[in-house]
Amino acid sequence: MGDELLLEVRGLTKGFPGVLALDGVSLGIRRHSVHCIVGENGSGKSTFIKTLTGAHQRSAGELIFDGRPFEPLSVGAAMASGISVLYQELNVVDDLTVRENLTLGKEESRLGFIRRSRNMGGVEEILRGLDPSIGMDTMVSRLSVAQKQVIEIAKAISTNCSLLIMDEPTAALSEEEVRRLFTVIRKLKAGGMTIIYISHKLSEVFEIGDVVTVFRDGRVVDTREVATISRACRDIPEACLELVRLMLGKVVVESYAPRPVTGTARKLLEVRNVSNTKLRGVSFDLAAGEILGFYGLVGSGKTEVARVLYGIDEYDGEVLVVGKPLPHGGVRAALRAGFSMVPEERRADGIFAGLSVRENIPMMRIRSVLRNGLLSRGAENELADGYIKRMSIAARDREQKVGLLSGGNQQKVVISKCLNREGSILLMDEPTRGVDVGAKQEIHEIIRSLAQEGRGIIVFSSEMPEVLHLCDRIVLMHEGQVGEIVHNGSAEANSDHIMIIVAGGR
Amino acid sequence: MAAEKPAGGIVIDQRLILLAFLVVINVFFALMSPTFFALSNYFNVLRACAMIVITGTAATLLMMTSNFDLSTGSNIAFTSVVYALLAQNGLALLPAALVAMAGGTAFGFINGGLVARFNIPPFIASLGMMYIGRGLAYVISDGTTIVTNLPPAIFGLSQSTPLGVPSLAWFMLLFVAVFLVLQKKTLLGKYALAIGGNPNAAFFSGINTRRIVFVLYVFVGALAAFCGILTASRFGAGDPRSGMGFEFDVILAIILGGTSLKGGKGSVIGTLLGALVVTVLDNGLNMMNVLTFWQSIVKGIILVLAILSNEKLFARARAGALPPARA
Repeated sequence: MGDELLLEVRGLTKGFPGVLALDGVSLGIRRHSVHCIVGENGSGKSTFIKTLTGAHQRSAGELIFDGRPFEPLSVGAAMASGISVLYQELNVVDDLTVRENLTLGKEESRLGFIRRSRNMGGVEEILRGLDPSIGMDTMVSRLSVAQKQVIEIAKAISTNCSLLIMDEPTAALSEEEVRRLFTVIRKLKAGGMTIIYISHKLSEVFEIGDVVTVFRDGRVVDTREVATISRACRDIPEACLELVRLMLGKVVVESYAPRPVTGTARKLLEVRNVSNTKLRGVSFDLAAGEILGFYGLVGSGKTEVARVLYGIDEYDGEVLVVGKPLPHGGVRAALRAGFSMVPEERRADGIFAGLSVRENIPMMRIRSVLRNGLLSRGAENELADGYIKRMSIAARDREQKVGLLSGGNQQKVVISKCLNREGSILLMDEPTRGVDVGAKQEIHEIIRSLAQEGRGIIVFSSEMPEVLHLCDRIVLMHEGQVGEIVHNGSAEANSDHIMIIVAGGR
Repeated sequence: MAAEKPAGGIVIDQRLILLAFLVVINVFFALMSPTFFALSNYFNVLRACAMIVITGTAATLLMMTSNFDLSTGSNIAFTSVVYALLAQNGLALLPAALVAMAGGTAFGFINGGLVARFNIPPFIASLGMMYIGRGLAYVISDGTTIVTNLPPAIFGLSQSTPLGVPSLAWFMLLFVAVFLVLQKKTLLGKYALAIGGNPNAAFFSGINTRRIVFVLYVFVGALAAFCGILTASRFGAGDPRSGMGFEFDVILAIILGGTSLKGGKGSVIGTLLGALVVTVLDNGLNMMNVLTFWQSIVKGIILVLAILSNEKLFARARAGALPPARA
């Protein structure tokens, strides 16, 4: 039995200050198999990979690789032992040829002069075996993303890698390229390679995987043979639903207090048939006073909808704001049309950490604190004090740097900044991410009161309890398409039904 | 969260330290040299630091956005040579100055365009303009100093002393006042701070970051060009070798004044103090008959010490600001 496993993980635990990212993870990776790992954001997948490859040092637990205890101290050490990772960001040098890339770092030299690169470890044959269409003297900059991946794979194989970890390899590939990559993976498997395959696209698990392990909250929920799941289910969406149930666990929803939007409410936003590289035919509308939720798994296109509305990404189709087409012209045009956005990454995109609460709040409409054309400290103070009170921002005073506030209070500053814009439509991407329970409640209350005042609010969330608790209608996204729009409070607004839709079922 | 340090404390601290240091070196030189502590000598100090401060006011706002300009010294040489040549050839001084300044301001348009429109790193863009500008100054002057046949009135701008105070000091005060208002009271200053502090958040807030950076480059170009006119007026000549190393004196003063190269914080007053510290040091060491070579070494040491202390304060404030690490 032990011989069958290439890698055995026992009780793997990894703690960061204040957070247990991996909590007693145990699983076995069978030789010559494609072992898929799935889980939502924050489930511990990437920490698991980083711990395997020596990028993180584990806090507790055992690794047994190829029958021996395994202590990777660095990424280099893990590679030397035969574990390679194909990262989402490819590590090829665009300005070298394919051949030069394949031998990079292993060139033979005499007195520092490169001798003609030799075919180290038969890497050229390996590459030809994987994809004969790639010419050895082609510049890598002229290859597609998929072809660059194949070069990295060939390099990994030539270093006698026995375990290849692929981190969302299809994220940037077209359908045709995905098919070719799968051909490569099948060839690798036939050639004796073991592969750990991480993906958000559950249908891929059923196409390429032998075994699937589901992570949730830093633990392994279950490890199953892919064949047993697909045999028990009639079709792929139903099989995916099994995985989604495991990934999300039991969804506990606080009751939703129905706030039916009156039928006469003004339509603030009509989105018709919007498509781009990530979205396909997305249509929905938003009424004044409504809280509309967008829910879907990672990669379903929620964030992409937000990016289109906020003028960041291009699109085909129609977006009408109060009956008028949204002008193309980037974020500034979107702001002028009445949008404002609370971005997903609060620290990176939302706050000016080094500036005070007073200085942050007027940033999106600095004219609100101009008096006679000059910035007025008095107006800034008044504005800041007003929002500190209205939002109950727990700052020592308005001069405190926003970077020093807690996550929840930072978020309240970002919301204040958006409100001061006085637009009619507020986009909120993960409004309560990284916020403690109490602040979450408060922010939900704030969102409700903002809707009450007549704004249209769109909440993009990866937490089902949040959308079920907060939103009046929920747009369920699946692979860039609207699966269904459910009215909260109706019979369909339950976690089972939602899981079916976001898994791609009907 | 424990946040005992007062908000904005770092910039204020830096300027207070600088002010204290300025007082200390003044006292030191007054004790060491009989000629140092005199009004006429302080006028010399003001004359010597006026141009650094004038260019530095706009350049401070530019550096708050985490951009900078290395071509200001070449700009001075170019503008002063053009000005002197036009005057030599009989053009009246005012139109000559305006034409020359337009040429110098073009440096700002080019730098700003390269950085804001074409995303060229500020180091590369302004280094390119530094070489081009210096070269142009040599080409149009044929490598010689333009000094003959200039109207005597050319000295008027820089060498007059309205109300008994050198005109250069008045200009310096004027631009410090203007840019202090720009920094503290206008969109430009606020947005400059925002762009340097968090370019992403500035973008998501709908701030036109490119336009702000572009406008600031134009301001710096225009003020450096004005300093070129002042230089020609001060020496009664257009010298293609003038303004050598000026760009670094400006950057030195700005950084000493507590503005970070990374942007996100800065102060025009700090730049004024920084320029005064450097100039007083130069002047005082001169008075003590210390070789010029040592002055350069002293400047270097003070710069590194200032940054070291500044970065440490900055790092501590940032460490305090970080939330607990998350997976």
